[in-house]
Amino acid sequence: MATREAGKKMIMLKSPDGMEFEVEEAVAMESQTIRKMIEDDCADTAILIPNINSKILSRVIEYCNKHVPTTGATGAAASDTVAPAALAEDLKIWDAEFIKVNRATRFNLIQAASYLNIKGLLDLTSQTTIDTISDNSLEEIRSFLSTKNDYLPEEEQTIRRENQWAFQ
Amino acid sequence: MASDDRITASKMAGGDRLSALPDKALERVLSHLVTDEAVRTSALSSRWRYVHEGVPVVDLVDTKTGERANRMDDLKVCFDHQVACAILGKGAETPIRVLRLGGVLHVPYDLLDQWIATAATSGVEDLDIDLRYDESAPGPLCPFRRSPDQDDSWMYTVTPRQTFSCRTLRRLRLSCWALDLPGSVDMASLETLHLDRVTARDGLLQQLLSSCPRLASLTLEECLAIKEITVTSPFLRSFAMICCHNATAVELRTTCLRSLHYKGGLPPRGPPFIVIADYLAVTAVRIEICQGICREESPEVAPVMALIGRCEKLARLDLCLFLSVAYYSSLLTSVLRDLPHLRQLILEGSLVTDDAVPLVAALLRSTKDLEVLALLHRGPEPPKEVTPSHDEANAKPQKKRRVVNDVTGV
Repeated sequence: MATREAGKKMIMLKSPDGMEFEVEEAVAMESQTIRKMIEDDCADTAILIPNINSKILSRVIEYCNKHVPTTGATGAAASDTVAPAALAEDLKIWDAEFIKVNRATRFNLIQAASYLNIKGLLDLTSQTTIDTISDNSLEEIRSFLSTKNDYLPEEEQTIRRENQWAFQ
Repeated sequence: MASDDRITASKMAGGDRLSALPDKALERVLSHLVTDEAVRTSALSSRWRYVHEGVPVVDLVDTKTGERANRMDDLKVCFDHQVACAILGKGAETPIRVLRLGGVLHVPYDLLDQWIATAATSGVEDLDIDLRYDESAPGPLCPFRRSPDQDDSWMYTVTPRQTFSCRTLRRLRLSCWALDLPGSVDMASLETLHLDRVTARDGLLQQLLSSCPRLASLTLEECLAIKEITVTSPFLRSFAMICCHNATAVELRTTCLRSLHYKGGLPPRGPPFIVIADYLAVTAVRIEICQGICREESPEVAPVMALIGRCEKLARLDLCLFLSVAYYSSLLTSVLRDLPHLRQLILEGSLVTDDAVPLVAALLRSTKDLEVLALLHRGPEPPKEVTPSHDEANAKPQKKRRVVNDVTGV
């Protein structure tokens, strides 16, 4: 959770259901979308994050909090006093725990990561989704995603023929 | 997990959340799939019809196992054709940022060349091509050997030259190739280089390494062409050298190396085998001594310990020497005493129960702030010589155990 520390610039994030989250600027800037807002000076007091409810937003902040020092290190070498190799393994374990959520939450997280443009979180959520749909038949994937097949049978045949190499 | 998900899927009437995402996010999701699976999503629904065309990744694994010509019945569409279709199936605006081909068997040279050229002109950032050959290809080099049983360099495909003049390339992994370089190598953006079983003429590997000014991560695996190498990139953060059994000296001119992984023979006494411009940046070290090297009477572990000792800010140490831990524990504890930042210690080796308690106690005494200590039992390789040495090696512990038994008997 976000902690207030002296000398660190804080940013207020608001979810559409009225919750407010105070986070360090560096943590918020894990999101390229927020980073851009801050750099363009569009974020004076609070930033409203549309479409992302407080439950999901708090999880996104949790993720950013955990990931802020390592990703920050790529640009400036000043902040990395921790061991990256050992840390990377810890992070992987942490990520694996973090992503143990139900499907709906995971899709919400993908959506949030996509909107907020947080590459690491998007990759993590995508990879996990892919792991569950990979090696399944189209019908299974449809049911997993609750996607309706809106093709006419002949349309589907055409699509299969167009990319025949992939459908064998 | 999948079945759990299906149950929740039927319970949830929320509709297809994933399909509601913008194309860019879906492309990102699909970029984690192998390409044929990604293309198959086009048949899911009209929402997914063209999404795969925007995925800037070609990732395919060659699954055929035998001769290409004789087994046409088994091969529905041959691998060459799959790769071509995957490349051509991209949207007109879609670049190929990742070209990852695994287990490629007997693909004609000109085709490989074409694929790589297409990717290079398209601004490829990640190139990963893993070739394989027939069963005639020699097996791994460990237990420790300096060369494969037969010289296999002739069979390796020569690397297409345009690979090394691609300025967009950030990650390159080559497995089972013969290195060839163009007159001027330009790898201005390369950050990660992984060479696995790459053969090369004298000096060629060095020339490549010297032409990667931004290299941050380097892995060299079973590259027997490596003897003395110098990595000049000042940005190198991670270095791994695995079973490069002919290597004699490594110099890393970086002041920001964080992670060092060495697997090979025991370094000899004398000048340091691995020299790093600044040892103090190193926080993680993993040292593995290959099986089959420690059969000598008294293997020399001092140079390994000296290397560890130089990394004064070490936070994690993995040590797998295929020796009895008791053999080097006193040297190790004296080195550990001067590593105040050590948090994780992983020791792999043979550990006789009787020695364990005093040994662990000594280790813990010299590591004040240790958070994780893992001891993994790895028995020494059974000696190939006849029994005398075997008896000698085991004499002590057996005697001790007998003493313990006697005591309990009394």
